[in-house]
Amino acid sequence: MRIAFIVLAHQHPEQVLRLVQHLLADGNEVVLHWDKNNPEDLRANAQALLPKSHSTKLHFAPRHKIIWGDWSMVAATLACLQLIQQKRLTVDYVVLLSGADYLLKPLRVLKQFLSAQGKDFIECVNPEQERWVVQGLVQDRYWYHHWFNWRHQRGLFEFCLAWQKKLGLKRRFPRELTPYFGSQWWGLRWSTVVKLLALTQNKRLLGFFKTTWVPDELFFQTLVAFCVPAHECVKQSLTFYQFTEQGNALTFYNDHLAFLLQQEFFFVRKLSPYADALRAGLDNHLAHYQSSVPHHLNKHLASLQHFMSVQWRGLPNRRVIGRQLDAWYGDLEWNKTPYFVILAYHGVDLEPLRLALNQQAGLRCYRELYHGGFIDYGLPLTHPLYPADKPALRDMKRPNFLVDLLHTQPQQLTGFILRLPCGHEMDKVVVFDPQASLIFVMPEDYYYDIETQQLNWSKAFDNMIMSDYLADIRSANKNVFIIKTQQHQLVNTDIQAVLTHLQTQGMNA
Amino acid sequence: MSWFKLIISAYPHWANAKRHAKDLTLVLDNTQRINANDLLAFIVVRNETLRLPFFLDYYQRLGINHFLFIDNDSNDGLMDLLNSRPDCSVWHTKASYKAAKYGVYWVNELLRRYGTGHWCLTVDADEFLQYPYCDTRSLRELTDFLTQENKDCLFSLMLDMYSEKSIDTAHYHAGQDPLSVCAWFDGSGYYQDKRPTYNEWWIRGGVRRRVFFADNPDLAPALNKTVLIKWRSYYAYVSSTHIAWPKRLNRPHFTDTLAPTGCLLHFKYLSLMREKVEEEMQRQEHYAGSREYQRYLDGLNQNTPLWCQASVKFSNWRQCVDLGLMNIGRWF
Repeated sequence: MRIAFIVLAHQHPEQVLRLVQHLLADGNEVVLHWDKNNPEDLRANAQALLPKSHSTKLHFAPRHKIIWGDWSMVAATLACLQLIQQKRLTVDYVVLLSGADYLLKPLRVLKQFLSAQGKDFIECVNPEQERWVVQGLVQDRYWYHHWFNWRHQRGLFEFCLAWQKKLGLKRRFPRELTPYFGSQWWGLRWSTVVKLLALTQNKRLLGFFKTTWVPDELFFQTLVAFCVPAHECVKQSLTFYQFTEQGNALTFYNDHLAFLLQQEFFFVRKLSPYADALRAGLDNHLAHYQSSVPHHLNKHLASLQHFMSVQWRGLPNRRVIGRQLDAWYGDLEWNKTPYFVILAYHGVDLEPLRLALNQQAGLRCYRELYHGGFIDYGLPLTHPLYPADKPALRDMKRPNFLVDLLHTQPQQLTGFILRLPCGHEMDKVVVFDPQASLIFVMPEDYYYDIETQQLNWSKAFDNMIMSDYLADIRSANKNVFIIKTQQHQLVNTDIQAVLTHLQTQGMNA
Repeated sequence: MSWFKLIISAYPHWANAKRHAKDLTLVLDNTQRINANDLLAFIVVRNETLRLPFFLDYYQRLGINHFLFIDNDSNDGLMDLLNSRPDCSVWHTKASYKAAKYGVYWVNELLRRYGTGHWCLTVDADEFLQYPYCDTRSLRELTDFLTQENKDCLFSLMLDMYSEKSIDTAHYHAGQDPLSVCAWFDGSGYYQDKRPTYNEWWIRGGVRRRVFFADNPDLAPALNKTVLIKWRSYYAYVSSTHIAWPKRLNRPHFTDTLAPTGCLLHFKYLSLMREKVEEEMQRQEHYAGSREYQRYLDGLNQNTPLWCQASVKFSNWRQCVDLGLMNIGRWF
């Protein structure tokens, strides 16, 4: 089995040569295409670095100026293939790699794999049936002419496309061909390459593809699907690659060794040019490779999917620095730790209730945390960042203080007393916070004082204020546990009821 | 923004920078060695030579290629240290730090002249950048990622580091890792608000607010810093590195998902502080009549402890992510 590797590279010659060394070591032919945009002299570099015995196996293809998304990429690849043909190298397979690629498995395993399979490896996805392009144009890539580069001449690109659409200048795909998309990186049998090269004699066919957009993901895929029977083509690449949702190839760094070793592919695209430790780790893996030849090529993306689901919008129950939906809610916006609030009018004695609550395991109830003059913890358990005599630290942003306090012992169901009306934003904040369970202490519905034969105004006002808050809570569609006091005192049965209510709340949480 | 509006609003930044740059004289010129694509660091220093050996080491390891110093009349042998270094350039000035808007105009001019087209890090000598994966990935890999994602700035939160002992006993000697002296910081108690004029996230908190501004925390200094920017000629810093212009540079994240952010470890509370604070009280060259320094002096004199039960010992960047002080964003 003889393989010729085509390596398309445009920067970081030392990393390219590191890859080339690996490819040459096994007695393979390597055709190197060094982008003409880079003035560095790769040939001199290679001669200095590589041993003499290798120099006959390393071939330098005529250099093209490669522009991403352009026909030049295909032109360079074709130039490499033609070079193999001209030099009459006898090879069984041709594998296309990039200079930023690296090996995941030793080449002897690849050779065993290829001779066992004896098929072409190229990703072919029919865009009319399946979605392959992550973001951007799909069929517009070949329906219309693209003379400008989207990266550098975005305005002109969009303009031309829009006008072609307006004028209805849709092109017909060449007869007998079906469009196929796929990753640029493939491994093909030499017999297939010969058929491809014969097809490229057709100038009209080339002319069609020359003005498509990103032809390197279309040209080879379409032609291989045309000239090779389906059962002789594995519609997969030998190279492991992954695109981000923004359509960029995922880059791998020093900390990705474990992730890459999970993958069943032979090559990986693409490594960061500075990831020397990763390359060294892979070298070590290659030197001690023991496993057998794989039968199929699978991606194992569990950790990537977990990362994307968790990190992108912020970790659950964690603050995001530099993002806040509502300044009033502060850190409560991302808080997922449930808590309870006893909303009570001024004048009711709540100490018996608080004592009863604090005797329960898993519950703790502070006194009036938002007391005007000081932080009234009412418990020995205070927050070290907020000394009781520094209420200004608390009042700078009151919800943040609450979140910091909740997170000191998140496994306990924490609560505090808030006297209404409180004169700051916390009354509304807790009413609308989904994590807060509310216990509402109302005065009895009894305004008429029998002894004086008059309306008891203070009771009536308490009741009006509390009724207003209750209306707010109802409009927020929030469940609330209501207790009514007798002579501004809580009855024992009510205290028991609160306990059972909170215990079920704790169980639900 | 229309071109006209852009030019009109860029002009004051440009003119101020131009005017104040006349105060700077180039005393160590290695600027010919700056290559295209180099990562540059811009630092305003005054008598901070003791900190520099480790500082230079640290950022060189992260991948900074050239350091551009503005020396505000140091007299502690700065040039003896830097003269032999081919990767440093130094500008000297005796002019007023306050008149140059606390160094911003000087830095803006150097950024425009040398930083245009480069990724530029603007920090003080006591600030050390931590970013996601900074133990395994270089700063260059971060900037490559940001470039690829069309983001040209890195938002970071300043974490004030302190020691468990009093400030006066936190001695630091040249070349030492300041983390070995001041390993603690406040893991919570950071307040963020978006301010309207420049759309910047105004973050206050940490030990400064808790200890030195406990009676009036609204006066606590800002902790948000946009230290890493891919500079363009018309960009400018407005207020230290807290606020940049145009205001899209103050945007920490993408519109849809999060971007990576950093943490800037700030080692101010060393025993060096007393001398510095006393000098600054004499010079009156700092913001708001040096009220910040008055509070530091009071704190030093009363020997106020900085460490408290809720302090967190710094271990690595992952800890900052767990505490919600840093974001990885979509950088896998």
